[in-house]
Amino acid sequence: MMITRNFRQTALLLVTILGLTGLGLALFELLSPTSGTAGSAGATLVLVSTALLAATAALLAFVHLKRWLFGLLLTLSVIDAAATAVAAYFLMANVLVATMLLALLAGLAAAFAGSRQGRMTT
Amino acid sequence: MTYMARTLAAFLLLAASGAGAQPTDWTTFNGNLAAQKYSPVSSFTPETVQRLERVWSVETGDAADGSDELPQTVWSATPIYANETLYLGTPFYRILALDPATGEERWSYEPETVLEALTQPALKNRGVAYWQSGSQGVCEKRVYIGTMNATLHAVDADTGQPCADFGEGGVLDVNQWNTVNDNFPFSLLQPPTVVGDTLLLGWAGKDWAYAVAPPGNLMAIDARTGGLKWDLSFIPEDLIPQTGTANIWTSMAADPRLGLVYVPVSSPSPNYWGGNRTDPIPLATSVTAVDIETGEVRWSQQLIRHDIWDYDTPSAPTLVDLEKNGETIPALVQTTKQGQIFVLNRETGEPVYPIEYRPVPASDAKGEKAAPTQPFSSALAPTNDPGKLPDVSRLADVTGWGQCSDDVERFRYEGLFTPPSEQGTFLWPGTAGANNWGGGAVDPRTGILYLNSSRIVQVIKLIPRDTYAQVAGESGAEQGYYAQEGAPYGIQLYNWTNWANLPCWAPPYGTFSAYDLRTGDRLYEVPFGMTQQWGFYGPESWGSPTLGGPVVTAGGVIFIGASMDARVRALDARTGTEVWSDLVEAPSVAIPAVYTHEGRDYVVFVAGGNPILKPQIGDQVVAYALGN
Repeated sequence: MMITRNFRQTALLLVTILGLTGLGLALFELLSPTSGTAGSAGATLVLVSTALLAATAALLAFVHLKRWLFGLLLTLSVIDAAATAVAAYFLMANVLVATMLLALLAGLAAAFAGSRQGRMTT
Repeated sequence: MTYMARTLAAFLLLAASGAGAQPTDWTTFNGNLAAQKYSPVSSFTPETVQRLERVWSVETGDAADGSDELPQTVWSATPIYANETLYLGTPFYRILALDPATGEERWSYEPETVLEALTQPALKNRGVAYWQSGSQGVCEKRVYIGTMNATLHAVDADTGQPCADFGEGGVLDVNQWNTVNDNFPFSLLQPPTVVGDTLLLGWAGKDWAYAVAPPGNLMAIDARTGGLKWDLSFIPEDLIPQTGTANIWTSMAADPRLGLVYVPVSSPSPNYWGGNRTDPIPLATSVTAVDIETGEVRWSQQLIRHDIWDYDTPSAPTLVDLEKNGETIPALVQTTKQGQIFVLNRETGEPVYPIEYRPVPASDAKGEKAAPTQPFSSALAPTNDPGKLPDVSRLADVTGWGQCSDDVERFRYEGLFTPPSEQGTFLWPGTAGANNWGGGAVDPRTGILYLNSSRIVQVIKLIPRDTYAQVAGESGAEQGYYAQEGAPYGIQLYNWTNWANLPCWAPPYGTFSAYDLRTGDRLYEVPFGMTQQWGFYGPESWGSPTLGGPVVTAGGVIFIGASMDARVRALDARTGTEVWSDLVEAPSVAIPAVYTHEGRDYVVFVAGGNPILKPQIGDQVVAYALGN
């Protein structure tokens, strides 16, 4: 069962790293005159959403949370990654799209790795 | 192969490659006096443009976003390549002379003029003009730039030093000729058209602001001295006390062989109500041929009668000789804001394709008397079908809780030329036009016209004077309110959108078209560019509204910026398909220039932005050439 827990934590760590990578890419979108979206509301939106993704994933990976809260935050993280990928698509930020799709897969992997609480008590 | 045959083959190969790199200039706003926007450069083809690379980029520093004491800048200057130098005017009215191969500055000229938005909502510039006498010496080659406050500056093309014999020390006060209804200065935002030793000069004003305004005129000015050769007014003498403008704010074309300049004349003032000018003003909203030597009108074709839509004739007509029914016709092609394309014989003004006068809706505004008929170019399909209001956008209608559908019931629209009204009228195409000052490009070898068009629907409401102040409140032009002082109505003019600023009409929002002028057939009309809202790009099938024009090259490639998404593009002229693009600093709302310098072919774009497209400004000049 430790394997499942480690797998989930690894997946959440990956989401954190991808969230931070996305944050960097979103910063580029927001600040670089060569991005085509500098200073735009859309770039600000993906900056906020990637920051939230990174922070939430880190929380899930490193802090012991109640089961319902863990489930809620993980669900929101998956939605965040998917929505950010869509937003990045319309910003024509293809690397950010790819990063968020990977984060989405990692988030889904964490979600389907089984019940965290249940696994830890067996 | 014998020695002789090898030598002959090598000679032919050399000749062929030499033909591909023949020296070309770009000495006027539209490339040549015929305003064809055609370059004989043949090295740019749909295949080779994949190898285009950015060879230099320059930021002039002459840009303002309007957040401090300077007004916002709008930069639409076509670079001029002449005298083996690239010349640019900036929205701070400086002249820059750049090395065409490196972008390095050779000299700059500072006009020391006021930087205030005296007649326009922004500091605008569409570039410089070039003249050479053919002799050697100081100021035998000159560059001219106009300013917002009506001064025309002449400097030596080699050094940038003022030409002392022009005006007063190189500066001509053009406002000295602004003596009637002079409630604003003659803003010189468009460079003069140079024919021989004559500068042909129009000006910009604000015909939306006042009922009575300076009457529009064309001035012929001596290129050496700045002396006025002649002056032609477009408003009948007896109507001058009650109206004004019908000015030329855009570029012109000329045929030196015929001795004619072809001028696109704008609408009279005020723009959206004409009760003060119900008598005919035949030269208003027209294309008019004027004798360059005498200033006499040779012929004129009015393209809108009693214009109350601000459908100024917006661009230089393109001159091209057309082979039609075994005859060579000296033709003139005029694109318009209302999306119609008129083809005339440029010697006589007679239509090459028929013009029909069709009944149009009557006005219900106080004191107004709309023209009962308007001219329609019946053989060439208009761009974007201006006769039918676009469908309502389902996305905008749903997210706007049905507002867009309600608007269709609420506002007046009975086809093209539906008059402005108190209830609100759809202005379709919008005041920025289906086609604007960029005009079209024509390949003189094939007689094919290439044209970018916008699809913007606006709403115009006439607001009775006694309630205008209350309705407009403190808000002004930013909310679309314009007083039209001296008229019984102020107006509100705005884009037809929902609360989220989504367009209420279905895409596309801009297209690119090609017409065979020999047959009148439209060869294609495809969405062009991409819209951008809050940074998000719309699908390619939506296209983009555009400002600025295309250039066609002998290699079968169209170069164009113009779209909202700040891309500069190369299109395959055969299909309108995009074959190359690059992101620049802001929308490139200028006509690009194509030239050959020291054996290498270049295309140069200016990226300056325009708030009509989106609030993004730039000060970038970017040059591209083929890499290995």
